[in-house]
Amino acid sequence: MKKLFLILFFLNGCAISLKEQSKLYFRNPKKYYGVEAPLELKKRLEKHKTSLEILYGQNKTSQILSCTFLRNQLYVAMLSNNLDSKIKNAALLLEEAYQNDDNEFIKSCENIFKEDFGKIFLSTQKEFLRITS
Amino acid sequence: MKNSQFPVIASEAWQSKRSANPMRLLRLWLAMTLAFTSCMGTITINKPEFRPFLQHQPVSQEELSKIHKSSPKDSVLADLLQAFALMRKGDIESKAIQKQISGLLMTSVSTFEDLNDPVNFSKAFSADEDKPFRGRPHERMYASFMTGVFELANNNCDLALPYFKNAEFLDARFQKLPFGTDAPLVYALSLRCLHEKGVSLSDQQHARNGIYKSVRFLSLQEPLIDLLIETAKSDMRTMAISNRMAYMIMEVGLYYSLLSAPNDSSIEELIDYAAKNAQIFTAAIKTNFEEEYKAKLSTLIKEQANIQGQSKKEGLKALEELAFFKVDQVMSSLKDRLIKLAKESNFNKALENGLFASKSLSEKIIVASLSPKMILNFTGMGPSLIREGGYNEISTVKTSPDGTDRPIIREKMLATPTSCGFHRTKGEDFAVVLCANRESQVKEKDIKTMPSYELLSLSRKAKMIQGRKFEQVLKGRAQFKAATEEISKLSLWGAFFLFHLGNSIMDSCRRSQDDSCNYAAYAVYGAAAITALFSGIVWLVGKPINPSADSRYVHLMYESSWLSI
Repeated sequence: MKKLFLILFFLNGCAISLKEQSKLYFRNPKKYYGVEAPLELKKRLEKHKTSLEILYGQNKTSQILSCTFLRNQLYVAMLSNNLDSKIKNAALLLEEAYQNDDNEFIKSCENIFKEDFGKIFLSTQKEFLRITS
Repeated sequence: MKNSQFPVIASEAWQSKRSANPMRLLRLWLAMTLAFTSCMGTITINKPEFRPFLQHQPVSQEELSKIHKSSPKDSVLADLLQAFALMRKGDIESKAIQKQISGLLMTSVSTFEDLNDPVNFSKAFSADEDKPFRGRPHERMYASFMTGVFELANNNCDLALPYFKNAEFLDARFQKLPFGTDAPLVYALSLRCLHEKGVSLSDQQHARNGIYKSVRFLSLQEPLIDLLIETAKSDMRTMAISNRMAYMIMEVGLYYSLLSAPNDSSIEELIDYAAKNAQIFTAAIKTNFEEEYKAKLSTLIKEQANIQGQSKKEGLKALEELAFFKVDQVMSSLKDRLIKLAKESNFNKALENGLFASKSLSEKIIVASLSPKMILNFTGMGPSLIREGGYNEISTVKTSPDGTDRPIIREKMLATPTSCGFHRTKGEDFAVVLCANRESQVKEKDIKTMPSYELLSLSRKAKMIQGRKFEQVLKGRAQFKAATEEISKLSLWGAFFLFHLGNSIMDSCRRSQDDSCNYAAYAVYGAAAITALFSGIVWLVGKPINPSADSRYVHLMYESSWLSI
């Protein structure tokens, strides 16, 4: 019983830690050169929505915002914490795709959102968007 | 302030020589510092012999010769100031004054020739005020240009043409990359000369092309850079290293394209030309744009290396090489996006207008250049130079209130004399009406208000010319000086502490009447004396280093050169 409690406590601790990691970018993005502040990013994409649609197609803005948020969340988490190896691999793949090609980046981002940890990161984004809208 | 306090402190210091009190020694040291620094501080333009130039007044020939003799390093500065003071306050309509101005300008411009020598080239910008003045790039270009104007006004095209060529060369030479000049007036006056000399159309082509390309550079630069910024702002992966690099390169590529692509190029072709020539700039990005590169990209690459666990030197290098390797591929996609936005967004109108303006304005300039009368006006005060930093080690060019930094061709209705020759207009401004032959140079007071275009803006030119390294050299010297001063200050405080400690020991020795105790006090006094000596030596090492940037500049140049059409 005691062991089970400890395992549950540990797992619960990991979940909190992951949630916390997904929030790091929204709390202190200014520390890093490689990411834009979340509010700035949101405003930029809203302001240049017309050009974004000319370049990437209709109704792509929200997907681009979401994927960029995800990349930035993982970027900040990677530089601040020791991530779980599964998340770390996914984050590295996403970063590589981000550095390489638009389509590759969107595809890699969609794959991460299918994962459990991706959903946690997505829920943090939604929370941020709800507060700032 | 320093000068007024100096005699009192000095006399106290003199009296203090008689006793070896540490406080008196300190006063003596301070007095010497003040005496030394007060001798070093006067900037050239504040020297009595230069003061008339501050009121825009020319000096007499004798006074000018006196400056040449007493301060040969400032001869060129004095000649240029005298030439422009004569333009501003002299009888500009007098042939003798025009000849004097032309002579002064020619002498100054000829000193720029010694830049051919690579040793002199590195010292060309006179980082120190005690080196011979050779002018800043825009001053040299403008001096050469004005020499050409005065010679052309005197119908001396054989002499004027080399000065216009030289102005083009001097303007292009100090840009970040080897562009031609963006001042259409240089080409317009060259074309007039070539036409007057009866040179064939094909030989006039360089000047005609120059007019079109420099006008295109000024008409299309803003809309094209706005388009580039919009593309960057709507980039899905705007923080990707290769993308950032591609934007930097594309910016320079667009400037190059505006000044070099064929005259009949469309917007699409201009963008394509910029992308195709990107490899020229890729190689130069780490050298010609060193500071921008470090600020914008090196930090990103370091972060990326941390993410990928490659923070060692080799890993960083590999990432950097990869980013450079990818630029060509990114450039091609950036070109496509630029063209797409140029065609389908609101930018289309501004870009097409810019292209149309380039064509129509350059045609007007060519017609004005070839017409029997060509009317030029020179107005406003040029840019100024201020020094910043703890030791005045940074020199910054400030845009004239009459000027603009924007790459545009300003247009205004100008009341201008239309009879041949030189005319004083408003205040210190003047106009020159160039006439095809001497016979037509008849004086009649006829003033007309005409649409005029600013075809040379000195402030923009002064701020655009970059690639100078002397500020960095001076920064290093300022750091050295600051370090020596800091060490000197700290060790002086150390010496005071030791003197104080010695005094305390000596006091306690007197009370205890112990001789061995006195030796300890003398040892501490000795250490204090050595520390004070060290402080003085460090201070003396730093003292002769003057990190201040050169304060000299020709403040009397004209901001705007207008062509009435």
